Amino acid sequence: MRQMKGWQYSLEDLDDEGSRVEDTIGPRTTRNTRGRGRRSQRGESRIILRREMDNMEVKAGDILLIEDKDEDREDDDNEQPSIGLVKDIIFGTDSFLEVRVFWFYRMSEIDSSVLPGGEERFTKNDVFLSPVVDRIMLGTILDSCAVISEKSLATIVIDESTTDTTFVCRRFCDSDGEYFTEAFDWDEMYQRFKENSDDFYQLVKNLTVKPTMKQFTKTLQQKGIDPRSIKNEEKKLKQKQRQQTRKKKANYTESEDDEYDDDDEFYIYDLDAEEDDAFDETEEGDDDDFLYSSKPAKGRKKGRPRRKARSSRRGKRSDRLPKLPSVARRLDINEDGRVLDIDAIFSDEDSREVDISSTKTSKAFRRAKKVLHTSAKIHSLPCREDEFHQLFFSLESAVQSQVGRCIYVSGTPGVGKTATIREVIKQLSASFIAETHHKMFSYVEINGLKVVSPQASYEALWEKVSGKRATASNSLTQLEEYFNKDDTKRKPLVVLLDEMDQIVTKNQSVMYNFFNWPSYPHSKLIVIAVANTMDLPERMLTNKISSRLGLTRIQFSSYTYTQLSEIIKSRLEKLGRLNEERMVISNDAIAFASRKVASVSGDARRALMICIRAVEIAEMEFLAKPIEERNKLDSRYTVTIMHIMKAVNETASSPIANYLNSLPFMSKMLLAAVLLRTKRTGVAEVTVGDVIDELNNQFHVVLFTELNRRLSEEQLEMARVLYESNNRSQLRPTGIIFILKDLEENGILIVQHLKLERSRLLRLNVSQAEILSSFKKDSLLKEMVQST
Amino acid sequence: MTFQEVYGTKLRGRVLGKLSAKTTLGDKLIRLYDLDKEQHQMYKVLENTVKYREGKSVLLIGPRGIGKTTMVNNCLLELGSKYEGQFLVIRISGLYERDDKTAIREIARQLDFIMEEEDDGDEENEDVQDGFEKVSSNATMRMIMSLLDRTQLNEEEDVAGGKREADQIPLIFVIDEVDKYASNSKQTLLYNLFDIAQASEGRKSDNGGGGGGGSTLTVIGISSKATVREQLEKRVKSRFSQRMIQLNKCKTLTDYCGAIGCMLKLEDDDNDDEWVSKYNKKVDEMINTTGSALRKIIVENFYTVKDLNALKNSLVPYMKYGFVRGSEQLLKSNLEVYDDRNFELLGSLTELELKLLICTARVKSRNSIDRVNFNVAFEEYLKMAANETNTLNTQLETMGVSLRRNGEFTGNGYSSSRELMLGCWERLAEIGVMGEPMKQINGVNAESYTGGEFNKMYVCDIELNEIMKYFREEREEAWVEKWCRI
Repeated sequence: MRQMKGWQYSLEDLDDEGSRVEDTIGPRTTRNTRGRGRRSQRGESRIILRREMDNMEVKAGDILLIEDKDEDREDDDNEQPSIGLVKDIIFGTDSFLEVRVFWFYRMSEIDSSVLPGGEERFTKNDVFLSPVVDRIMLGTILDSCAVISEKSLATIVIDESTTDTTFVCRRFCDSDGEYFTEAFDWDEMYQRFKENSDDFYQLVKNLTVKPTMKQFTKTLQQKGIDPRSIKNEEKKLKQKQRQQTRKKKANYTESEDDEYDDDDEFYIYDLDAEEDDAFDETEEGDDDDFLYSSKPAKGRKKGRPRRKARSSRRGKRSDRLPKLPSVARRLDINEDGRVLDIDAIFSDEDSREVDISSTKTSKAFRRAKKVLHTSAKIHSLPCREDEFHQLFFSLESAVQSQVGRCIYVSGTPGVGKTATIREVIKQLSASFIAETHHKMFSYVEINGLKVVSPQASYEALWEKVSGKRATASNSLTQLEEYFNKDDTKRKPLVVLLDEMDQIVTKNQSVMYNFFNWPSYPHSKLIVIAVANTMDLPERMLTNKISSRLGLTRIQFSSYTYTQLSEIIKSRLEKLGRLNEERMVISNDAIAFASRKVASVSGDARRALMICIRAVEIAEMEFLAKPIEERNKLDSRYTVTIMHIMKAVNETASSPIANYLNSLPFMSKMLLAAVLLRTKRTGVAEVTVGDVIDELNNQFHVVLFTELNRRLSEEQLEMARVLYESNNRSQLRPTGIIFILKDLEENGILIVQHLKLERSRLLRLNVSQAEILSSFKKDSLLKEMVQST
Repeated sequence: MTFQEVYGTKLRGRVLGKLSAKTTLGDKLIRLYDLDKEQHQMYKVLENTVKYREGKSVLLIGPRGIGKTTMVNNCLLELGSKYEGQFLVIRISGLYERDDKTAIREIARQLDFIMEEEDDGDEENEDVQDGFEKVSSNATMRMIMSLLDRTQLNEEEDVAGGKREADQIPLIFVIDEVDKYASNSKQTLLYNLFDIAQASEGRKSDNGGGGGGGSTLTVIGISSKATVREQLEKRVKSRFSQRMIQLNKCKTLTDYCGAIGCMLKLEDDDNDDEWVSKYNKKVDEMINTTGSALRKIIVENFYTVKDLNALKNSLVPYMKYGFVRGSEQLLKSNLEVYDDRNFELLGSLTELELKLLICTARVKSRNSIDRVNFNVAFEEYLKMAANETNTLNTQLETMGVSLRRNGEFTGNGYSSSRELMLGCWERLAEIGVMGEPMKQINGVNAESYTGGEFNKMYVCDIELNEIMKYFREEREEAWVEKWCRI
């Protein structure tokens, strides 16, 4: 409403141009006209806006200079205004009137190297129409301007006075400003726009789609899939989903539907997502208005994409972060980072090495690895339904009642705590938007291990609240003030405090504050604290904190083996469709892996990693086979229990046994001496002096027949090898101090750091049984093992 | 031309270059014996990172001098030649960057450095580059996390539906001495790196939405500690890819000889094919004939320290001067570098110092205490000195001569004064055969002792029988053995 200040609007009936309904904007009247406006906007009438200040009229089809309103860029004075073609003016939902514009790209915004035909063929007044539709604020409209065709350019001269208001349009470009259409006549195009703006939009969209996309559509057709049908199907699905969203009940089934939907995208639609977007956009334009507002929840690309492209050059604050150079990859990835063809990438290298059928198999292996990876996008969290609901409802009630509250979530690593909470937040925000068309709460994540010091979490929170950066102590005072103040407009803020135990300080002030703020009447702060142990509040926190933490505690128990296998299977389901059964993980194998992990930790990450490793092992095994055999297998391969076993052993086997086996004789003897001493004295810690004495005794007493035999083969004597260097006999076995250090560095022994050698204390860092079992295999130590 | 001449002019330089090359420099491929399998594994992991954007975390463990860093360098060189400019390597070492904060700062510094290089000749980016390194470590951390970590669910991005970032270049982190970062309870650096690495895979399939979009990251942790995985905190462990590559010392003597052969032998060159193969044959022969001096040294090394680097160093003088002439006295095992310093010191003590030391050791072993002060040691010395005089007297008296002056026995005729012996005592403490025991009061070292030098307690670092044995074999000084006898 506020933005309408200084503007008047009138409705112009298209059938009857003469009759204009004048209306002066007032808070009451607008509300009354609202319903009517929404219904009547299609077709019969159009809205004309008039600025009171200078009587400038704005209607559909006008071309405007629009100020780039961006509070972060105030310093940038010589900013050129953006140019927009008004698509239509409608009664909106979020704001009373919505002006939607196509954006033009200015010459200065285009990377000159991508221009067709080189830079010199264009002037600085050249603009390019892009298929990006955006809502603008009335306040940002500066002035009207003119866009002319190349033909009319010949008739007029652009001089000083008109250079800011007259522009030439020869071509369209895509939303990234990187693909350009052929040259065309703007006048003709503009005529088309006048006839039907939606069709025009479609046209621009189609024209600016890259040829690669079309090719892909073609390949789809060759495969017997009609891209159109896919889209229709998708449309249906989307509509279904929307209907459900409208039911205003975010229940879990919805998310599963969502999964279906996106699943498809994952394999097919993803590839021409650009086109989909185009489709969506028009779709929704025809559809009910509020879909516009429901969109952001799905995280779809919206707004003016070029703003980002530009600001990366200009340095808008939030984007000023230095970026790593992007890579010019050999792989064909189209500009917006979407992969055109998964297969093209994977076949790239391997096809040279192996025949085609195997390539497909190895692609299957890759896909399997991808879906099993922890970062793979999943849309449902199987086996976490209860916790999900608990969290969802407590958050929902907290947000609705606008009061602060604390929720404590505990569970061992890898049981899906953070993933579940994020999913809840996503769904909750989507459901609120569907319900009220507004964002009902803001959300910030603070990870105790991702901040340098506990106090830095204040900085993070304050930055979220105010958008400003301040030092930790400053932030604290500001936050204190902020949460104390009664501000009715303030939205509830949900804070996810991950790895909470890491921000516990000695006097626990950080924790105290985070749990104290929610108790303020006006704070509207909702804290979700996440930690590993269930009784952390009782163990680590003082009573005053644990009492503030409240009783809403949600415990994530470790996954049982059935749950783990369900998780693995649900991920593998994604694979099924395109996989053609080339790569299968047998049910036994999945069960085995889940049982193995469930018996130790119930860590889903671990289970998935084992599966990935098993797939890797199977892949290696498959590729190592001769081609004939591979063909015989019909390029099908099953990951069996054996592969899982190997993977489990790899992760579980300790490197210590291997290391012990590779030790030289003297090091082993030293360890044996330590064992003997500890056994005799019964104390775990022995001094270095004792160990040396023990070694000397042993070398004098025990025969070491095997060693003697081997050394005499080399024409050497044992006593000389062990005690002599450069023909001088030594008091201690050769290199004993070096060996001690070596063992310490490799983590087998812990040695006290003392200047004196003999009185240093040392202790074994590995279990005695492990050492003994390794020594039993060594023929040189036969006599020693018997005595230990 | 004889082999001798060719070796002197052409081959020797190459052999010595090979022996003394810095293997950890990473500027050229260095052949490692029998580590092809491990190297291939490592290479595959790295290649997958660059090619398929799979983030992994790998721990590479093995004893010192086995070639861990060299192996990683080899892989990176190979990768660099194949995918030039398609990845960045960031190296940090637990020895230089002692804690997480300095490590993060170092990462920022290296990123800045890379960006600066990138920026050359690219004016467009000039004002963008703020640099990663900030004054406060909080800000630096935030900077890096915002660059690398896109795992957090970020509301703004969601709503604005920000366009996907361009494909960021994959990063390879090589962390030397990774166990240093795993030693305390808050393993921020490892937690974050592992977390990003495990979250960075599969982003190609990730179609917008919440997460994704971060850069691909592979972490290679190099450590000599076999127990490093157990040191990881449970949350860090859960995020670790569980991929370990272990390098071990050779188990059999044949392997060990092979490794040494690999160290000494030259690769075939176009020019001197004939001579090179002749040289290689000779080396093989030397290593494999039982009884040859080289073989003996290898065997000794194998059964005691099994340290290739020590052997390498001790071979340098031989390969330089002795190889052609066959003079084998230059071929010494370098094992004396591992000898005990204390025994070398024994030989340099004066007689009085030695006597005092023996007395200290006597008191220690007779009373089975480990701390001795000067007073006790000096008392023992007086007793011993008197004893000696007595024995001498009796011996002399049997010969009819008497040391008694005017028929009066002075008692401690041959003993030195207390002040003199105190000087010796101080010197013994100074050179380190005796040391102050670590006195700890509630875990804090209490070093301020003010009771005067002769009351101060010391611990003798040498046993009585060791002194006895040393002098029995080193010098023929009969009195030492007598003094050492209790």
